[in-house]
Parts: sequence; structure tokens; C-alpha cells
Amino acid sequence: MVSSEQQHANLPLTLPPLGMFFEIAPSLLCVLDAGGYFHTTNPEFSSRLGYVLPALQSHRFLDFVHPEDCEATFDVLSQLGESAVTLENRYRSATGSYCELRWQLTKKAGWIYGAALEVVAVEKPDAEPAEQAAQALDTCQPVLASIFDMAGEAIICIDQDQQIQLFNRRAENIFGYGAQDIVGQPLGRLLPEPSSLTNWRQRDTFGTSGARPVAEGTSTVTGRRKNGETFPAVVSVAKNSMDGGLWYTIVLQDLTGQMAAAASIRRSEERLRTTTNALPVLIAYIDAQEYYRFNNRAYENWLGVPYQSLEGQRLSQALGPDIYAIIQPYLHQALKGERVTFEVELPKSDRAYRWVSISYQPDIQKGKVKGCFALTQDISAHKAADQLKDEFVSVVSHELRTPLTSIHGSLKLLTTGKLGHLAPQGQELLEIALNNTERLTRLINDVLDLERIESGLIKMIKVRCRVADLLEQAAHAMGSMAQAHGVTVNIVPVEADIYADPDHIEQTLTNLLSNAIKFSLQGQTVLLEAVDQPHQILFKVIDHGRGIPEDKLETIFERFQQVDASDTRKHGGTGLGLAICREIVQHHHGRIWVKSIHGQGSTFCFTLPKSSREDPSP
Amino acid sequence: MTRRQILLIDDETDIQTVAKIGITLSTDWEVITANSGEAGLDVAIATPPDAILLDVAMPGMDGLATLAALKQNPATTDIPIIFLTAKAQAADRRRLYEAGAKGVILKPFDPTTLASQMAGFLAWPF
Repeated sequence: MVSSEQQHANLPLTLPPLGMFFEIAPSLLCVLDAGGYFHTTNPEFSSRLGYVLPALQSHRFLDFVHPEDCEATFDVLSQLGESAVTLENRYRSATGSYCELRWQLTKKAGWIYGAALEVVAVEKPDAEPAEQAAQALDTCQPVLASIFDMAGEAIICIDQDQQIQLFNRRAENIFGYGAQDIVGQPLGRLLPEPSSLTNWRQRDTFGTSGARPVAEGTSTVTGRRKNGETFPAVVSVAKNSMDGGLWYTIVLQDLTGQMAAAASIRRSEERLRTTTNALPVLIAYIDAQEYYRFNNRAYENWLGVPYQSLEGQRLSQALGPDIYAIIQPYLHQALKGERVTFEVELPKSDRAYRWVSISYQPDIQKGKVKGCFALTQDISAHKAADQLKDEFVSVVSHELRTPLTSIHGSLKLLTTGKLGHLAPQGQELLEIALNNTERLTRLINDVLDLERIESGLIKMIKVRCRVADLLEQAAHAMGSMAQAHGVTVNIVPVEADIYADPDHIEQTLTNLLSNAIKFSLQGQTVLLEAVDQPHQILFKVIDHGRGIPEDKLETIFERFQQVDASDTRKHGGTGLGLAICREIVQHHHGRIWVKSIHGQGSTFCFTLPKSSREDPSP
Repeated sequence: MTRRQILLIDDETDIQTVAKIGITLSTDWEVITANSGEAGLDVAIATPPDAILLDVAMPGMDGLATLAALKQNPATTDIPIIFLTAKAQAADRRRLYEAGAKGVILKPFDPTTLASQMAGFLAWPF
């Protein structure tokens, strides 16, 4: 009688009960012949590696072993006996990937029996959740390690006894310790006031559950570097319960740089405030809701209240209803995104009215008006000076003209001969005196004109006027002069209207005509022409006189820049006529220039825009 | 026909003289003179002239104030007034016309044509 053990041992492999195990075993099973060729494999072998048996039967076991593991596998196989041998190798699946397999191999009766379990599965879709989590953790480990090392903040882990356990690279940079020096040391080495941390420890009244943080807190602390230097820092603390012990993770941010930046901003603000406070102008920032957000000290003098008290006040409240009503339309314009400058007379805190110039510069960020910068300047002195200048010009104008009127009038009456006749030389001297009096009169008129136009005392009052009328009036005004010189003035008009100050345009045209007539020869023709262009009218005064040398074409519009220095004497000009013309044209937003060929005549041109654009001069 | 009477009001006696000679050389008009707005007003009220030649810039009552006073007085309100002014600007001239002037003659004026200029403004035959 044989024992059941013996019976089992002696049972051939093909016995039905064992064959069933072969079918259902979760391991990879295979039987190889003596040459190492596949004879049989179980379904798990096929399903895991993807091979079907008939295809395998022409292959040796070694054919699918990773080249690097081939030699070791060959050694085991060639020396295999009846005792089971364990072997690990990488085995190629039908997809070409390798599975790491742990084999139990044995040889019996010329057959090699192999059973394998996977060590690391390339794919394991049906793995248990706990196993998956473990795998996920395995995968995360290097990522976490890299985050730990690369983090921009110091990460320090301590145990419940406040012994440092982990210390990342940033912590090394901040504190100046290497991890190897500080791990195992008390936290007090880094944070000299551990009491700041006891607060959050005391806050810990939560229970413990797994590895999730169970207490958290953020506080500002003082850190101490290896060199003894202390620094401000902010820490976040998370507490974890792990393996029965407590584990604190401290994330620390060094505020030294931020504090320095904040201090720098504060200093810069202080400088700005000191500077703006020292200025005699009123400087403010007004937000889109019309609240003051910044005021300099000058406001104190103006409004009679501490300037700091204005910040956060609505303008209507800070300035009072009367002043607010005056500035409101301009402010609204600025808060719509327009740059506004205006002059207005406003009462100061002492109730005295002062002239101010106010500029609003909108603060536009990303296309939205966030507010506006306001600059208010007391221009009363400037206004008074302007008025004084105006009065001075007026007085000079009167005081110079009054004696001239008497001199000129007397000479004029004497030259008529109605009061008696002089000897020819006496008559000649009388003519010289008269001519020079007239020249002096023109010069005074021109100097005053130019001064008043340039200073803006004369405002161009633009009205709609017919171009043809302007030409005819100018030609008519110069008719007697043309006749006296034996020169014909022809007009080429155009049917168009412009917005211009007719008196001043006529003055420009008569100045140009007067020059053209003066420099034409007897019998020549002067042409006064207007050309209708898309956005402007081009005026031309063309003569066929002596012309202007090329080097004078640019300077001819400057004061006292005549072609010939003797022109004032010979032709009675003042040297200011063209300068006046240029001022008038420029006040109309036009352009003036001259084309000339020396010896063949000149063409003076100027343009005036057709639109009714307002004169920007005050 | 009686001689036309002109009242010339100007604080500058030299100008008075020149204007007076200029006018009387070319016309038979009678020229009466006054050295100030106040004096001129009194003369005008006492013996209303046919026209007044009035300087603008004068100490005390200036030309415009004199014109206003003349216009307010029924005895002088209809007397045509021509200004003499050194202010050559168009705006200045416009202001004078708006105040009620019949004409504006710029200084320095030509005394030989002064009367003809005045006659033009007053629509008097010359």
C-alpha cells in the first residue's frame, strides 16, 4: 500500500484533477522539453504574456528572456536538477514589453517545469485598491521629493518633540544650515521663540485621522540664521498623525526681501509726498467715484483744512457746492478719458478769489478710466502780469501815437502848400520828415500788432466768410497803392467759404499784396488767386518782380529779415509784415510759404483750413 | 446856410490844433474845442454842435463815458459822434461802433483828409 503522498507523487501530470489546477492557477505555468522548447503553457501564461500555445511550441524558453538576463537564465536552466530553483528575470510579452517574473523551476524526467509570479506588472488593471494606492504613492514619491527640494519656501518637518526631521534645500538657503547639520536638532535653533508655535499646538483640539493634517495655523515669527542674524518670516503649520506619532510640517517664507521692498515703496512714497508737499501747486489724485485719494500739502493752504483729512472725501463735500459746480463738467470730461485744462476764478479759504489753471489727466488702465491726476496752479500773478502787459501795450500804443499824430498832421498840412510855400530844398526836407514819420507810424503799428498777436492778446474771431469777398476787399484796399505804382491787380476767385477772422485775413492779404506791388515794375500785373482744395483753401499772391534769392526763402518770414537791408528805406517797409502774416496764418492753423526764382518774381502762398476748429490760444 | 459846427474833444491841444487847421483849410466848418470829456459835455449841452469828434483815451471821463453821457442827455442824444482813436484793432473799433459811434478815425490821422472822412461817416455833402 502506498501512501497518498506517494500516490500523488507518482501520478502522471495529465491526471484530470491536476490538469484542472493547471487550467485555473493564477500563476504562469509552463512545461519545456529537454531542449528548452515550449511544450505546454497554462491559460494564465497566455493571457498575461499574450502568446498562444501553438506559436510558442516552436520557440525556446530563452527566446523571450531579456538579453541582459539571458546568461543567468541559461545557467540556471543548464544546471537544473530535481530540486526547485528560484530565478527572477524579465520576460517579453507579445506586446514587446517586459514583465519581471519570479520563477520556480525544476527538472524531472527530462521535462522542465516552470511556475512564475509577476514581480512588477507593467499593466495590472485588476490590482486591488490598496495595491493601487501603494503604487500611486510609489509613483508620487519622486515627484514629492522633487517638490520638497524645489519649493520656493522652506519646508521643515518636526516630530512631536520639536526635533527637526526633514529640512529642504530652500530651508538650507534661508537658515544657512545644511540638512545634515540640523536634522535631529530642536526647532528652537531656527525659531528662537518657539512660543509662537505653541499657540498652534495648543489650538490642536482635533482628533487624529490618518495622514491628513489635523491642525493648521499661520503666524508671523522671527527666524534665526546660522550666522545669528534674525529675520521676519511667516509660517504655515500642518500637523499630521502618522504611525501613532505626531508630525508637524512647517512651511516658512522669509519676509526679509518683502520687508525691504515694502520699506523701499514706503521710502519712495515718502519722497514723493515730501516732493509734492514742497510744491506750490495743488496735486491730487481723484478716483472714478470722485473721491480724493491723494492730496499734497498745498491743499491745506487753499482749503484751510489739514490736507490728510481730504483723502477719502468726495470732491463735492471737500470743495463745497459752489466750487464743485464750476469744476464738475471738466471733471466729468476727464473721467470719461479726456485730458482737460481750463482756467477759472475760484475762492480760496480766505474768500479771496484767485485765478487758477486746472489740468486733469485721466488715469487709464487697460482701457478703463480709474481716476484722474489733478494739477491746480494759482495763476493770479500771471494773469495780473498779463493784464499789466496789456495795459502797457495799450499805453505805449497811445503815448507813441499821440505825439506822432501831431507831428504827422503838422507836416502833412505844411506839405499842402496852403500855409505858404517853402524853397525847393525846404520842401524836400519836409517830404523826408513826412515819409519818415509815416514809416515810424507803420513800425509802431506793426510792432504792437505782432506783439499782441503773439501774446494772444488779439483773439482771432472766426466766422464763416466768402473767399471771393476776402480777395475783393484786399484788392480794393490796395487799389490806390497799385494805381500809384502803375501795377494792375487781377483776382482769380473761388466760390467757397471758410471759417476765419476776416479782418486779420484781409490784413494778411493786404500785406502780401503791398509787397507784391512794391516789388513789381510799372506796368506789371499782380495776381491774387484762391484755389479750392479738399480740406483747405490755398491763397496765392503772384508777382513778376525781382524775386527772392534762395538763401532768403526760409528767413523771409522772420522779423526784420528783408531781402535787402535798404528795403525799409527804399520801399518803406517795416520788416515785420511777413512775420505778422505768419502769426495770423498760424493762429488759423494754416501754413505760409514762398516760392520764388530770383529775378523772375515770387509766389506767396498760404492755406487756411475749411473746418471751424477752435483757436486753442487763450 | 449856417456853418456846420464841429465840437472837437481831445486832451492833447497839439492834436486839437492840427485837426482844427486841417478841417478849416478844406471846409467852412466851425471847430470848437474842449480839453476833456467833462468840458466837452458842458459845451455840447450848452450849444449842441452838428457833430462831435471825440478822442477815446482821455484822463477822467474817457471817450466812451463821454459818449454815454451825451446819449443819455435828451439835448445831446442825437448828435452824431465820430471817435478819434489810437487803438487800431478791429475789435476796438467794433466796440466803439457798438457803443453808438457814427464813425472811427484812426490816429495818426491825415489832417488834409480829416474833413472828407468825417463827411463820409456823417453822409454830409463834401
